[in-house]
Formats: sequence, structure tokens, C-alpha cells
Amino acid sequence: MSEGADKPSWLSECLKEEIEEALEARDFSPFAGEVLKKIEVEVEASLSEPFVAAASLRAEVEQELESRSPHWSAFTKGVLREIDREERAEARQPLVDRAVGELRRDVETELERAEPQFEHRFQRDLSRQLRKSGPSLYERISAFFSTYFEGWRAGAGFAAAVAAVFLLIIAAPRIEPPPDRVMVPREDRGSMVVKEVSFEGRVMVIEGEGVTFVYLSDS
Amino acid sequence: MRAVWMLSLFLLGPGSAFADNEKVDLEIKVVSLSTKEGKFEPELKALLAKLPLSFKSGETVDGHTKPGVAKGESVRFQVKGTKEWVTVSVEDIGAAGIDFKVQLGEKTAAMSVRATKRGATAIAGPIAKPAPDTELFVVITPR
Repeated sequence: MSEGADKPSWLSECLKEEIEEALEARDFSPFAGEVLKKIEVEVEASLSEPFVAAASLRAEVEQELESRSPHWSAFTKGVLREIDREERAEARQPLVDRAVGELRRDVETELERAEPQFEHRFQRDLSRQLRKSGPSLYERISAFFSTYFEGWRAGAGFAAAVAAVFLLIIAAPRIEPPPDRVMVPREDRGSMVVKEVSFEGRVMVIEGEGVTFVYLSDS
Repeated sequence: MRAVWMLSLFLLGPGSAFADNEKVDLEIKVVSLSTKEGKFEPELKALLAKLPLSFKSGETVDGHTKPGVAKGESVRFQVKGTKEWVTVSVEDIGAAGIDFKVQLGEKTAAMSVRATKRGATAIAGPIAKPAPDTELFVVITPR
């Protein structure tokens, strides 16, 4: 395509200007008024005629509303229930807060009351642990003898203590058990001997330790 | 009491032999043994387990103790709550023990027994059945 095809020609420009001038010079208002008048007449005529589809549409709408009626009520109930639930939750919230507060106060009171016991137990356990972690018997005896016999070794003192204990055991008189510890053979409690039974039925004699059971039954 | 005294019969001290014409204290009690609950002590439970009816609890409903019963004497009483009578007659007291005769009811049953030591016990019955699951027994113990 040449550049002359894209650019409007001088002749077409002249024609366009002439047409525009002619259109501006011409009065279209009577024509427009006629057209508007005709449109108004037609619209008024169509409006004056009865709307045939209205009845069927109305019936269809009513039918649809009836079919949805139960759903509407369920939906309404659901909405109301949700509202109630929220209201109850809101109403309960202060109760929960109060209950939590009461429990917290109870726990704090209980802790305050039991605190001395904890301290006492802790102190007791601590003293016990300290006693456990103290020097052993051997260490204490060694320390005693090492201080008592200055210059002696602790082992020699411990050996002397052991020898002394053996001597005491050998030399001490034999201790007899107290009389109440001596085992006394259990004496016979005797028995109840059934020599004769007169009964019109079945007799069962069961003998236990010191007890005899005579059971009578009809059959 | 729930048969606690019955267990005490087992735990009492050893009895002693009888001298001729010695007097004894005759202890007679009526116990109600029931198949309900389970309150028996193990020793008595083991004894009762040998019975055809499984008793589970016991209760003293009547008791008569006559001190200084000599040969030829007897103890007679009507069981509380029933029309039945119990008679215990001491037939003989000697080195072999004490012989006595027990009469349950007027014609229900009679038996002759010998206790070789004090504390030995005879349980006899039933003398009455106040309830379908309860039976009354007579417990005789010379002391």
C-alpha cells in the first residue's frame, strides 16, 4: 500500500467539509420531534395492553416461595438458635470467669496454708541428706582414735576397737531369752464328740478344731 | 456382733479336763446364719464351707448362760422369735469330759455329745428358718 492510500485525499477532505456544513445547515428538529412522538405513542399503546406473562410469572414466584417455605423456617430457626447460643455464651462467660477466680483463690489459700509444711519437710529431708552425707562409721572411729592416740595411725586405732568388741562378746555372760519369748506348744482345745443323734432326716457331722457342727436337713 | 464371738471360741485359751462332779458354766446361744453378705472370719468360714448350704454371715439372736451347772441339771429356754424350745441337760461330768444331751424343739432332734475340754463347742441345727436365706442354730459351749 502506498502512503496516499493511508492519508485522506484532498478531494475527500473537501467532500467531508461540504457534508458537515450541509448537515449543520439543515434543521433536523421536526424529524426528531416526529420520531419521539411516534415512540411515545407506541410505548403508551404497549403499556395500555394487558401483560400476558405477568400471571404466569406471579404463579411461578408463589410456587417457588411455597416450596422454599420450610427451608425458610429452618433457616430462621437456625439463625435464632445461633443467636441464642451466642447470647448464652456471653451470659456464661462471667460465670466462668468467676469460677476460675474462685478456684484460683482456693489454690492460693491452700498453698499458703501448706507452705509451712513444705518448708518443714524440705528442712527435714535436707537434714536427713546431710546426715547421710556425713562421715561413715569407720571414718568417725578412725578420727576418734587418731585424736585419742596421738601419733598412732587411724588403722591401728580401728583394729584396737575391733579387738575390744570381740573381747566383750566373749567375756559377756550369755543372755537368755525372756520367758515370754519361749515357744510354748499349743495345748489341745479338746473336742466335741457326737455320740448319738436322733433325727428323722439327714445328719451331717463336721468336726473342726474344738468345734463340731451338727447339720440337720430334711432330705 | 456379726459372729465375732464365734471366732472367739476358737481363740479362747486352752480348756481343762473336768473333775468328778465338777460344775461348769453352760453357755448356750442361738445364732442366725445367713447366705447374705460375707462377714465370717476365715476359720469359721472354712468350717461352714463344708456345709451343703453356703452361709456368709452370722448374728447372735439369743443367748443364755447358766453358771455352775452340775450333773443332772439342765437349761431350757424358748428361742426368741420362734415357738421352738431348746433343752440342754448335763448327763455326766468326769475326767473324760462332760456329757450332755441336747433337745432341739419338742420332737425335732435330740443328740448326745461329749465335750473333752472347756471351750469346746457344738453347733447344732437348724432349729428354725425365719427367712428363706436364714437358719437358726444352737451353739453350746461349756466354760
